Amino acid sequence: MEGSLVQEFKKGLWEEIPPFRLVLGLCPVLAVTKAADTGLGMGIAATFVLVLSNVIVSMLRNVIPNKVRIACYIVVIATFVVVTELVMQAYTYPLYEALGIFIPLIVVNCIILGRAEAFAGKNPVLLSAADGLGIGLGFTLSLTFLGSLREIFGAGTLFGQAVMGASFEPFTFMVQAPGAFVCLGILLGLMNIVEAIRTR
Amino acid sequence: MREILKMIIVLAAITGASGLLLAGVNQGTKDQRKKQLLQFVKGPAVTEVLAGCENQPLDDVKELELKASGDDTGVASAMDIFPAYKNDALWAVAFEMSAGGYGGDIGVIVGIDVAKEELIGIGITTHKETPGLGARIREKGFRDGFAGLGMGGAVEVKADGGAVDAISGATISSRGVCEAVSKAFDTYRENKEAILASVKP
Repeated sequence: MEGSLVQEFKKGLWEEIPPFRLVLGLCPVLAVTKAADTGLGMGIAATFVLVLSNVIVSMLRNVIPNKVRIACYIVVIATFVVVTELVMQAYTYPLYEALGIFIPLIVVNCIILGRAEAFAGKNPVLLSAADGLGIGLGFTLSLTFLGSLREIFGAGTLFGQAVMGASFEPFTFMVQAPGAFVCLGILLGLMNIVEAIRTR
Repeated sequence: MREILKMIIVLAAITGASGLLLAGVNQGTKDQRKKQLLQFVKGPAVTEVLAGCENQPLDDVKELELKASGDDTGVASAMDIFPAYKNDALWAVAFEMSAGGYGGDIGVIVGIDVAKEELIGIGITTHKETPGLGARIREKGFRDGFAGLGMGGAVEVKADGGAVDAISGATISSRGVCEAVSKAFDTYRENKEAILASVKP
């Protein structure tokens, strides 16, 4: 229970970085990382929901009866997801179109419910906010990185700008579903190697 | 007993607060969302249908309280009428009409030549048809089959005795589009004066 704000924030960036170390929320990770910008957009949307739901759940943690806590968490999360959806529809319509069904599906993203249940339901508001921000930022970084990688090799562009030169033959396999699995697998493996060397 | 009461009250309070917040956000972003929908979905369809006109139909849009044909509620609802002008005279009007397809309502932009009273073309806006089958109603080949249809007869696919080539394997979606076009024709006929008066050059 005793942890500094910085520590709670930092753990989301390496030790518990989703999806690579927690290996949670893989469905949107595989689906929206066709390009760097959709990955970034999805990450920001999820972070927004994560921070706000963590704060509210933490504020209400002494009021919510234990037996209906999951139902309460889901209501809180779903509310912020719909808010995100409406706001995206109003201001960033192309991104809303690109992410499609994966925006409403943030409701069932286990990272968010997981943080509410495992952290925000037991910790004070500021710590929960730091936890949400850290994990959310980690999620955003992972998605943007994976998206960049797949976009560079799969389409030869990064955020829509050509980066590989005219002679580059795009590797379309990378932007399709199997490419997502292969990329994610390689990254997971690399992170495990780095972690093994670090802790030796 | 007390525990149950507490559960009910807390959950009800949270859901109530959530409902209030969502209603507020929905209301607050309504106009902006409508604008984006116009810009990214309806806009391109209208521009394509009314290609060749000399004005900007999206800027000249008029909102009209109309009773859509076949709407049993009897309540007039706001409809956007997009006028197109050629040689300083009204050439055509376009508006959106929807009808049920296979996966849900299909929104169709219908462009009507006001002098000849025939269809210039159609554009598909929102739909939930199956990708690769029903979703092919968006394809130009299918939509071109509607150009030049007169208002006299019913708009139907060939299997039903009409003149429109249905997409093979997606008859229900094709019928939905035909129905939307028929509804648009009826609506236009029933409200012709009001529509034409609203878009006078």
